[in-house]
This record gives sequence, structure tokens and C-alpha cells, in this order.
Amino acid sequence: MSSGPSANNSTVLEETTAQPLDATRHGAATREIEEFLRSRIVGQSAAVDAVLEIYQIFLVGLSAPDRPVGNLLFLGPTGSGKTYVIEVLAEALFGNPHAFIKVDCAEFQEHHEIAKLIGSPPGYIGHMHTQPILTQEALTRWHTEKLKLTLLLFDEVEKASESLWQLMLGILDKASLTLGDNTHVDLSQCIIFMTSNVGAPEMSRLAEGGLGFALQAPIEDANLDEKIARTATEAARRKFSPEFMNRLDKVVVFNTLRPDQLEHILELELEKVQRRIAGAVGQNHFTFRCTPGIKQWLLREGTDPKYGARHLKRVIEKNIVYGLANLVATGQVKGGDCVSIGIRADGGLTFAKIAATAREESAAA
Amino acid sequence: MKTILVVDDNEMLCCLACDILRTEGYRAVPATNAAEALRAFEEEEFDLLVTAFQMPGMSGLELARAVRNRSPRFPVIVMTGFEPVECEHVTLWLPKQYLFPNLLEKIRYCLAGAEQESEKTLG
Repeated sequence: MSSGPSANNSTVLEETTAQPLDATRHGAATREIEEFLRSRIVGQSAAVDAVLEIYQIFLVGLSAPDRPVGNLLFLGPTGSGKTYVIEVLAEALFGNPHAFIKVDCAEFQEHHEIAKLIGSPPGYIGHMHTQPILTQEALTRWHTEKLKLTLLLFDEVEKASESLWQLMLGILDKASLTLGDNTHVDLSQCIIFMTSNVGAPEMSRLAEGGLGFALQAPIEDANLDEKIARTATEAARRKFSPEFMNRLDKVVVFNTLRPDQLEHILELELEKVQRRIAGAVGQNHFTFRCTPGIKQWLLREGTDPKYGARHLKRVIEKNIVYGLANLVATGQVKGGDCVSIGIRADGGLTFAKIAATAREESAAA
Repeated sequence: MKTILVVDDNEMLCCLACDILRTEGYRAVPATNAAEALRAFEEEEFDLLVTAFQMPGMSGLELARAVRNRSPRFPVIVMTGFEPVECEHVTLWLPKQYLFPNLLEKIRYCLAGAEQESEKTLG
């Protein structure tokens, strides 16, 4: 029997009536989250893309059954923003950057410490007294009527003990966990994040800018990010077992942050402080501005070749926030005031109240 | 998580101090006068009181006395822009002009002392 002509006709018909579709487009709900993530996460678009892809699949109900919604491994040097991405996602989804469960794998290096996660079995010391971290109640704590999703982070996964690895392999594969008291926990509504800095020294050598940050002029190499990604992934494959790597939906390598990106991060952090002041104090709050000099100083003090931008928030808190609070405590700053923060040649910080007219001129400029 | 009651009639300072304490991992509850603070004590348990010295109505010292009448060893930090005065109901005084980061250090000190105290009592 010849099927040639009729099959060809049907193909022609399909092609002429088919409407082209764009499988990369996101729905409205995902676009809203995307906008939030991209406005707050600097220089890590691969991480944002990976998170959005998984979230979109979850929203339309196409996540694989009996598996977590997604298993993501974040690789990159300390201070490159791995945990921060999860905090921003938690804020975008639940309005709270702390709305996720964090398991610090370094705390579970001994076999018996696993009881902190799943509770002690009956008959063991601590049974009934050890409240497990990974209970069904804990997983559903941040669920809302509209969004039944949990973000679960295994931080510094390379430090996990053998027992924790076994437990994690079960979670990543079957989305299930049995607690010490034999209760079953369902993790099929979870996005599992794992962070690790394996391969960080090799990545750093490639970037030649120190660990995590290109403090010196970045190398002129269009393929640098690609090379770094390959190096990190290879290091992960050497460190982690194939069983683990095969269970991952995506491995994301965090980029080395460039000086302009660090400046952008600083601006975001300062905006956050301003929002905090407005949120804490209410309508009659005061505002502050930082001179270019103090911004450079904050970048120098807050970014570190070893720990990346990890200390930036701390430096802002200790120098800007505490300083402003002391001005309020001594009645030097009141609601409606605008404070300019600068730096003297000797490195001391200066705080000055800007008069209304100067403020208008400065805003207009 | 330790819970701290922060009392100051300067609402802006009260809220800002609470915000800083929350960033440091404490649960901070603001109150803008002593009466509000005493009501808060009726409703929940606190681990530490941080209060301004001078406030309209009941002062910080009177508040400290009222709290210590209920719980004699309760840790109390008083923030002041004036010279401290002798008062058995105050654990520590803190000048307002050097509030941060000193307040955080004093809080850690007071809470550690309170914990040792409670261990001794249990022991």
C-alpha cells in the first residue's frame, strides 16, 4: 500500500494552517516574578533563567509526578550570590526573603546528626524531644491558598555526610522522606536547591581576579564565562557521584562579578536600606544620599577577594544604618530630613543634613 | 529566638532600633511609652527590656521598677542622653550618643548573663 501522496498532502495542509508558537515565552505570573528577580539579581541571569523555567513548569502543572518540582545545583565561589537568589525568589513568591528551609550540610557531618533533620527513631535518646527540621508542617509553613510550593536549600552540599547523601538521593529521586518516627514526608511540591563552591579555586584562576570577584581588570575573553562554567561543572562531576549528578535538572554556574556589577549591587543594597527605613519608621521617614566617595569606600570595605560581596551588607549596616540610627537617637535627624553621607580624606565618615533648597537642586541635577 | 521589648517615645528611633535588632536575629517589639510596654508584658514574655530614660508620663526607671517588681532579676538596659543615676533596677546604662553598635554588645552581655542565671537556678 502506498501512503506517499496522501501523507505529503496532509503535511502540506498542516504546514499551511499551522500557527507558529513560542515555547520560550512565559505566562503573566512568571513574568511578574521574572521582573522582580531581574531587578534584584545582578550578573546571574543563568540562575534566574533556570529558576523561572522550573517555576513556569510548576505553574502549568507539568512537573514530573513523584519528583521534586526541580533539583538545581548552584556552583560558584563564596559571595557570588547563590543563597541570595533563593532569598530573592522567596521574597518574590511569599513576600519574605526568609520563606525557605535551609539545611546547612556542614552541620551534618556526623552520622548521628541526621536526627536533627528527621528526628530520632523510637527507643533512641532524644526521641520525642528532637523536633525534626524536615516535617510536612515545616514544608507547608509558607504555603498560601494560591501557591503550594516550598523552597528547600541544602547549603554547601559538598560537606554532607554519607548518611545525608543517602537521604538527599532519596529526596531528589522520589520526593519522599521517612522520619525517625516512621512518618512519611512528601517533597513533591518542593524546589530543591543545592549550593556548592567546588571548583572555586580553578574558576578563580581562570578569571585571575581572586575568588569570586574580578577586582582587577577582567580578562578580555568573550568565552571566559563559558570556560568558567565548564571548569566548575567538571569539578562537580569529579566531586559528586553520577547518581547525584543524574538526578539534577540543572547545574547553574555563578559568574564572576565585574566591578560595574558590584557597583550595581551596592546601589541595590543602599536602596534596600532606604526602603527599610521607610518601612520601619513609616510615612514621616527621612532619606539619605551617599557621595561617590563613600560608595567607593563601601565597595572597598565590603567586597573581598575571598568572600565576594558577602560583607557588603554588614559594612553598610555598621557604617550607614548604625550611623543614621545614632543621629536619630540624638535628635539630629527627624522625619522629612535628608542626610548626605560622605567620607573625609582620613577615612572618617561624614553625615550632613541637606537643606530643602539644596536637596531640590541636587535632585534636579 | 530572644524577644526584646524596646521602649522609646521617639517613635522613629524605637522603630529603627527594632529593625536593626531584627536584622541581628532578635524578635523586637516596639512600644512608645511605659503604659504600652506594661501592657505588652501582660500579653507576652520577653527576655530583655531596652527603654529610654526620660519619657512623658512614666519614666524608664519607673518602668524598670515595675518590671523588676514582677520579675526581680529581669535584665533591663536604659538608654539615656543624660548622666546615669544610681538605680538597683537597671542592669546597664547606655549613652544615646553612642547607641549603635554598643546596644548590640550590651544586649548580648545581658542575655548571656540572664542565661547563666537561669542555668544556676536550674542547677
